[in-house]
Order: sequence, then structure tokens, then C-alpha cells
Amino acid sequence: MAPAETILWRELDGELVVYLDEMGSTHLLGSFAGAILLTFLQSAPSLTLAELLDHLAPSAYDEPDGDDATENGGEPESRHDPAAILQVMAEFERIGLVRRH
Amino acid sequence: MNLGDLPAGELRSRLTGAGLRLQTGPLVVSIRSPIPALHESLGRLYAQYPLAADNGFVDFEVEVGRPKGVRRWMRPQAVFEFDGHLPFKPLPADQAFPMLEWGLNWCISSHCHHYLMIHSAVVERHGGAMLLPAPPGSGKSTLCASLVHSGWRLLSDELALIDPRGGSVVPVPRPVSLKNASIAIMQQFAPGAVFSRVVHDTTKGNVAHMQPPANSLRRAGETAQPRWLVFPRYDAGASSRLEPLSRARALVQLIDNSFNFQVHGRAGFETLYRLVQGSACFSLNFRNLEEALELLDALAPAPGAELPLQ
Repeated sequence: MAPAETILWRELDGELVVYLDEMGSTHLLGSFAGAILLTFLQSAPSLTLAELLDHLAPSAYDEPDGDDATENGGEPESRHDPAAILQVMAEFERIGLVRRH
Repeated sequence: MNLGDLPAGELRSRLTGAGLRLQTGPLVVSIRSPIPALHESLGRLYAQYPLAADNGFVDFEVEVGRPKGVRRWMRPQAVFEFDGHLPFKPLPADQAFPMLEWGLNWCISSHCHHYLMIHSAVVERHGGAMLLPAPPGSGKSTLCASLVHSGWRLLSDELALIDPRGGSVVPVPRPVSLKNASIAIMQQFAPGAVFSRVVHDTTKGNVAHMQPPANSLRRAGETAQPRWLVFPRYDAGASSRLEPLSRARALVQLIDNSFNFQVHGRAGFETLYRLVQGSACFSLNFRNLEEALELLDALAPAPGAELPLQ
């Protein structure tokens, strides 16, 4: 993922707005995508998908709140579905927030 | 002393001589031009603007002149010159005054980076500023023009200058730019207002400018803290409605409408975050000015009444 010190984020009423220093870009994240970002920021920045699922398990996807999406993504059908996480990760990759290893 | 207090002939003498120095909000501009159409509109629309000291600091020295060469005698043109440069292509000479206004906007948005600048109209009532950020064509200037003739104070119809130190909006009240159908709408809405003559067939269509109310010019030194963020959009076919907008979305849209966010980077992000955090945020769709004003006036009731927030 991009170096943590280059990511500035602020939460506003449950949504996250992220500013990427290196790109000079700003992005709006829903709570699900926001939870994934915070997991990365608060854990090791090179998590595998399995590790990410473990970290997210209790906090992010037990109580869906219905507004999860990245700015261009849709509502995941199930938060237990790794495909939903992969969809968010693909969006993160597109905006330069993470890189695939 | 205001421009309108100059003795007859003095305006022309300054414009064709050393330059006319005007105070517009925090900025001093020196203007030179030999073009009579510009003299007439400037004298009319800037009559209530204070003159700046002859020996003081000038932020922008500009000239709207005539290009050199044979062409000037065939189809008279005007060129905008700033600091010895010609940033724009020449325009027909009858567009000299709009060219001056567009050129001054460009000077500010390209150089005043000590402010965070948003493409936004700003009006104030009861001490709170309302920002109306929007791209061209959204009805922003027309809405702004009607608000300042309905009890709101004009801070700007085009550029919100945010002071990053305290987050306040610094007024730079200049003539309000109106285009096409908006000209007649505002002439009907505010028959007592002062308008420039209509200039036809510009790149923006027909344009005219409206003089800011005297009260807005007298209070041009009073900053205001943002209290409302309203993203307006004119839609003749829809019903008028003012809907809450999430602060996160408002922040992203505000950044999208900034002229120089990249210059400020992280500090700019923090400044706009604080602005949004302290403001009630809305999207406004409106089909006519009367309905829009009713919706916006309700946000700013008289002092003592409870302010509606999100």
C-alpha cells in the first residue's frame, strides 16, 4: 500500500475522505471500504487477503449498514464474501492506494 | 474617495495615463486602457469602489489595449495585458469590459495562492457565509445576483477566497457576471440595479455585468465564517428542492471546485475539512429564483431565531 504518511484521511458522518499526497487526489470511501483502509493503516501494510479477512471479521462486516461502497463501487452482496473485498481492493489499486505484490 | 467622485475627464485621464488604481476587497488593481467602451462601463459599474493611493502597493497592473498592426484599423480588437504578458487571444473591441473582468478573475485565480480559492459565489447574512460552489452553467451567478438583492451581502459571485489561517472567507465583491437569459431575468428582478450594456456574441454568449449593492462594497473589509455550503443547479424542468448533502460528499465536491487545492496540498485538505465540518451542507435544485430564495432564506432566519442545521 502507499506509505501511510502519504495518506491523509478524515471521517465525516461515517464516510471517509482520503487524500493521497503523492497523487494529489481525493477519494470518498463508504464505511466498508473505509474499514478496509483503516485495517491496512492500523495493521501491517502488506496484508494478504486471508489476513485482511481475519482482521475485518468482527468489526466491519457483522452489521451491514447499507452504505458501503467506494466512490465508484457498488454495495457488496455479502461482507463475508471475499469477492466484495477484492472489488474494493481493485478500486484501491486503481486510485493508487495499494499495489499488488 | 470613490471612483464616482472623480471630476469629469479624470477617469479617462487616469485610464489613458499612469493607471486607475482601484481597491477591490483586499486587492489593489491598476487599470489602463484607451478604449472608450471600457471607460463607460468601468465608470458605471465601479463608481462606488474606493480609489487606492497613488503611491501604494499594487497587486495587479493590467491594461486592456489595442493590438498593434494593420488589423486594428479594419476590425478593432482588444488585448488584455498583465505584467507585460498577453495571456489571452485578442477579442473584438466591444468586448473590452468583459475582457477586463475575465482577465481580473484570471489574475486572482492564478496568483493569489495565499488563499485557498474555490469556484464559488459567496454571500453572507447575520454573520454567516453561504458558499455556492458550482461549475459554469449551473445558475450560480444569477442565484447570487438575486440573493444580494434580497438581503444577503455579496462577498463574490465567482471566487471564494478562503484564508487558511482561520478559515474565513475574504470578500472580493466585483460586478456580477450575467449571461444570456439571466440578464433580462435580473433586470426584471432588480429593476433598480445598475447594469453594464449587453455585449453580444462573446464566447459565453451575451454578457452583462451588474453593480454590487453599495452595502456589499462598504463592508468589503469584513470577512465571514462559512456556515452553509450549498451546491446549486438550475433545472427548469424539476421542482425546486434543497436536500441535505453528506459532509464527506460536500468535501469532495468542494475540492473538485477548487482552483488551487493542489498548491495547498495537505494543509488545503485540512482547511476544507474544517470548513465542511463547521457548515451545514446541501444540494439545491431550482427552477426559478423565487423558490430558490425561499429555500435559502429559511436557512438564515433573523438573529435570535434558531438556525436550522442538518
